[in-house]
Amino acid sequence: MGVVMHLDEIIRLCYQCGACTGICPMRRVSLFSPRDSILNSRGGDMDPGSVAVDTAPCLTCYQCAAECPQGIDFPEYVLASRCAGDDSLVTCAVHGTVLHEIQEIMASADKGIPKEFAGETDDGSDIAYYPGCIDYLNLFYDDVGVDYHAIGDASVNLLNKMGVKPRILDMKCCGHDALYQGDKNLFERLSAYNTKRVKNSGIKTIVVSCAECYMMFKKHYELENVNVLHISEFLDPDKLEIKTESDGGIVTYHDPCRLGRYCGVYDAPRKLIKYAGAEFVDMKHNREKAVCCGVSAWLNCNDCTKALRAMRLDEAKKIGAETMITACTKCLTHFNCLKNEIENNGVYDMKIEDFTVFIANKVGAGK
Amino acid sequence: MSDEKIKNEKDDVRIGVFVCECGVNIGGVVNCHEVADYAATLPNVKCVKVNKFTCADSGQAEIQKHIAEYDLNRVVVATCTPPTHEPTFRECCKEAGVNPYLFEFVNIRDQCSWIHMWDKDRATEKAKDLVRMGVARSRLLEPQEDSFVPVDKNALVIGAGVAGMQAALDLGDMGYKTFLVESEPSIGGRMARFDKVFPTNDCSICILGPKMVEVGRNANVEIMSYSEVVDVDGYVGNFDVTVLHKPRYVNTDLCTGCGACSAKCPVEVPYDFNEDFGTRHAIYVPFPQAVPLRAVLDKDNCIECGACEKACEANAIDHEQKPAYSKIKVGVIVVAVGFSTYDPEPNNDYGYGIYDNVITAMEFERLLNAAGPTGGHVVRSSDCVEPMRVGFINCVGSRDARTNIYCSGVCCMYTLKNAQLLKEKRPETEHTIMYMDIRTPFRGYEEFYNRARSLGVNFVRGKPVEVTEEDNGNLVVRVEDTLKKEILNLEFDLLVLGTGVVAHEGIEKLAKILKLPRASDRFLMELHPKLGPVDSTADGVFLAGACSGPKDIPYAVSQGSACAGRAARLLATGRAPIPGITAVVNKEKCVSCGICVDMCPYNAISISDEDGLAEVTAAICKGCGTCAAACPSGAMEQRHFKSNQIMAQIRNVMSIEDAQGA
Amino acid sequence: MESDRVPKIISFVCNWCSYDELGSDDDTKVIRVMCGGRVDPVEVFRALKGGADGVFVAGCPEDGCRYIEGNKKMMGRMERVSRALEYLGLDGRLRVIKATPNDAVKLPEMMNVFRERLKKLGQSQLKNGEF
Repeated sequence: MGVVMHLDEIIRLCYQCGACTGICPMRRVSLFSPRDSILNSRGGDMDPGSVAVDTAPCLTCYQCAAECPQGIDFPEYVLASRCAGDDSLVTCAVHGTVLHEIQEIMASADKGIPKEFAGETDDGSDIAYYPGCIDYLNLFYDDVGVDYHAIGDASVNLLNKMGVKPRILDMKCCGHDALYQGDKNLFERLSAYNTKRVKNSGIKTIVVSCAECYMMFKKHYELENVNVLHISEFLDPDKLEIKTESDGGIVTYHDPCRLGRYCGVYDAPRKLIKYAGAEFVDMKHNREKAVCCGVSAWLNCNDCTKALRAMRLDEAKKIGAETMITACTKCLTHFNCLKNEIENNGVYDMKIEDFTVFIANKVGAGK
Repeated sequence: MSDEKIKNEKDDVRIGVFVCECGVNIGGVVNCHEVADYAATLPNVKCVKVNKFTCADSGQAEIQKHIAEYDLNRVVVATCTPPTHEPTFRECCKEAGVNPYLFEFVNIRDQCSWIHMWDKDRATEKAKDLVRMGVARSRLLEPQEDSFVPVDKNALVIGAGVAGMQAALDLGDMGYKTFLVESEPSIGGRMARFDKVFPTNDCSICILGPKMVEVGRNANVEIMSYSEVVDVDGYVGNFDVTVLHKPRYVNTDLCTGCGACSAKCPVEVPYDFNEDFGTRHAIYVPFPQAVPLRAVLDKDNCIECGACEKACEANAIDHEQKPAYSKIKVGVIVVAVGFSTYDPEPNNDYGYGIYDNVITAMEFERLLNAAGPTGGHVVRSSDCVEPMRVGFINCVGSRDARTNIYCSGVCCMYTLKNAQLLKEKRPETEHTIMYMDIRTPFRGYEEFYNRARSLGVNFVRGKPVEVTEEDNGNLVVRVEDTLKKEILNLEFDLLVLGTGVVAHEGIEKLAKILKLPRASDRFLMELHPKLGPVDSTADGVFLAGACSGPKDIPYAVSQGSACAGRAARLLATGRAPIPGITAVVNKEKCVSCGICVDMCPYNAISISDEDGLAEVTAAICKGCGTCAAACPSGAMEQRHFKSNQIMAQIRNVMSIEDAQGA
Repeated sequence: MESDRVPKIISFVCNWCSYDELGSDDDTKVIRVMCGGRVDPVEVFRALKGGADGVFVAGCPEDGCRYIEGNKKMMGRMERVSRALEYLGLDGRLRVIKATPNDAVKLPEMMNVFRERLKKLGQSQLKNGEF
């Protein structure tokens, strides 16, 4: 409640200028309007639950906050209302409910994130690698046609190339989906476990390959004295030896909201992709302006956000991209899902690949 | 305890405490009678009195009556705030025969009744604590005398825009020799570049030109164009100023401003006066109305072909000119360096710098101008076609947490003006202003807004977020019309950005030279936002126009005159007061370590050649006390803020029992 | 761990192969589905999260599915669920069988084996959730 009250105060500063609604990707495909939501919640007679319902279409993609002249963090307002409301949005979550169940079980179970990956690991290292839920995704999202496990293999292999044998800690889900679905209790259980685990391990650096996990450790965890790095920040192009020549195809990069607008990591992945010899071209909306894939925390997988994904893939198509790289499993899942849809057969003739997998293949550190 | 033994002018300290209710401003929250009753129990307090308005004549009369009746030698007033009222009460005490520095101010308004508005008991308790501290300090106060320094009768005005010109004219007319230093080759500033000016839409240069001529003719005003102030030494009344005269490579005594040189010059470079639209030659007369009307040679772009020398009948061109410095002595300084406009290029706001047909309002202004690069035809860069649909986006670089949070104040008006001017020239064009709020205070401004509306200018209330360029160079602006709650994709032929006002790019350097502080908005800080709007924090230095925040022309002109008036107080009396709060050195304790010398932000402290000990030049010392806080041997003391006085306050922060025990 | 505690088992049972036989078993709560292909992994996880010590899923053998390949889908999904349970340290709490109606007599025996295994594993520690 406290957080919502604080944000209420900030939201009173709203100019009602409409910049948020103008930039809002959801507004491109629906009548959703952050400005209207703020206006609706004015006067204080709206409880957090109603705000959460009113703002349910929000993707928390952060484009509005980046445009707001008053610096109002609308996604934070949405998040706080979801967490303060009586009912979490879990019921609204689409196919992600399997993961939510697993995350809930994980919070009470002995084990959490699987640790078996190709490459060498070392339990004495003070550099850890956190793979996130990729192995669970592999089990339950097989129809998307993405080998999520390969992200972990690629990451460990790449770290090995850097001369690092990482340690893979017994950790649990970072809690991103739980938090953004409004299940604060589950998030707190998961984060309490992970925080304790990290602090007791003596780890100094955690390398993360998933944009969401990275953002969570950076923004929602208090890991004092532990350096959280996205793998693109950790990898040093000079230490990686590029083995394959560019195959001539145009490569583009889709900035995940969590990595880009939330954490400001734009250059590191681009630098490595370019270094890997790819012919790199940015899409029309890139970096701060990158348009969201439409699904964060397994919410809002619907016709509206599907239209967003189609718009995004059209942008990639327009620049003639043969490969679109991203660094978030949600983006990876949903773009591949759209691409593989029966009605889209052959419409989007491009590879949609994870960043680490792409780089690993280029340096001969793939599977 | 040793503090208490320090002898005062009379061993018998007799304190009167006056508690002000300020109507209900204080009395509505703080129980002033309870505070007064409490004050009466404090040592040395001989009388207490609660007043409805202590600063009113009647309240001051009460103080003076009590001074006489109780033979008071200390006066404590618990009321509002020193910046506004300390001079009043000091003067009141002085009239009644008590040294003004034996008056002590206690703020129970801001710190009690305002901040603890919802907790009256707490406010009252805190007021008692503050009064106890004030009484304790007053016991140890010592009488001080203000001193005076003589004031040189010359004045310096930095910046010859409309504000600086007004200040120089007023000072000159009052008979004071005034140096007007301008970094550009001509005086006139920003206003010389405007096409027309609101709210009357008269031609800017037509009304400014005569004023420029007047400045040029004024016998007391010496224009130093193409010059910069590079160093200022000294203090109020006695400033030693070094002025750099940039080489013009033209002898201004010989040049007649005929322009023959320019006509022959083969070099063409973008013309900054026209916002880099169009070109000028390497040697050029800034603009037809320039004062002084003299050519200037831009050496960076000169190819030394000698064509200009052949063309000049007056033999005024001098390629060998060197930068020159002159030293002037002045008593007062008026800073009027103006502003810069927000630059949308680095962030490519709304595609500026990427799309040809997105321009700033200042660029639009030059296109409108008959003397501008297109002879007054507004055309777009991509194809030189006159636009049919013009969009204006307001608040670019203003009212935005990412750039400048403040409102630039002038953009609404100039956008209304620009839309009107083009609409008048070419009524068939369509104009759309996209805004968050339209702000038009002051005389004639709202009427000006109505005029734009009645001319048929469209208004869309919304902040645009995205601009895309079509193949034909047209621009599509995505904006929510927040009144209709609709997303619009408006297509324009030309898009004009209402860029905001930002601090002058040279302000940082000048602030260092003059030791002036800047606010978080990067403009220079005035002494008091309401009651000292043209005074700077440095004595004898005044601020006119947009150097202290965005201002329109009438405001800037008023400030120019105001500065002249404020400065003339010092010039006319020939002396400037130095308040009795400067630092003094106890030479017996000084160990010549020199720490204070480095501490002083004003260079007021030096190590004396005679005794090798620190000494303070009172006229330079501003009374900040930084040296006193740093002195390791305790030799440096700031008058009226002595260590024992401050310590007494600290001790009395605790309850009375603790304080008495201390 | 008390050895006489009877483990709580939830069974998802195909209407055609095993329902009649298991329906009379006292110690397991049977949820009838028309086909093993209807069993959603989410339901298995929720059963365990809700406090079940084990989940028993029964479907038809290969080529024996009334709905052509619902059983294959079921096997594929349950394999994934078992893997996930392994990751979570909950191995052995899911038992999946393929049975023909003719195998019905073996079912109580299979259930007994599963029950004994669950007894050894002890009570599930997942008590936080609810159905």
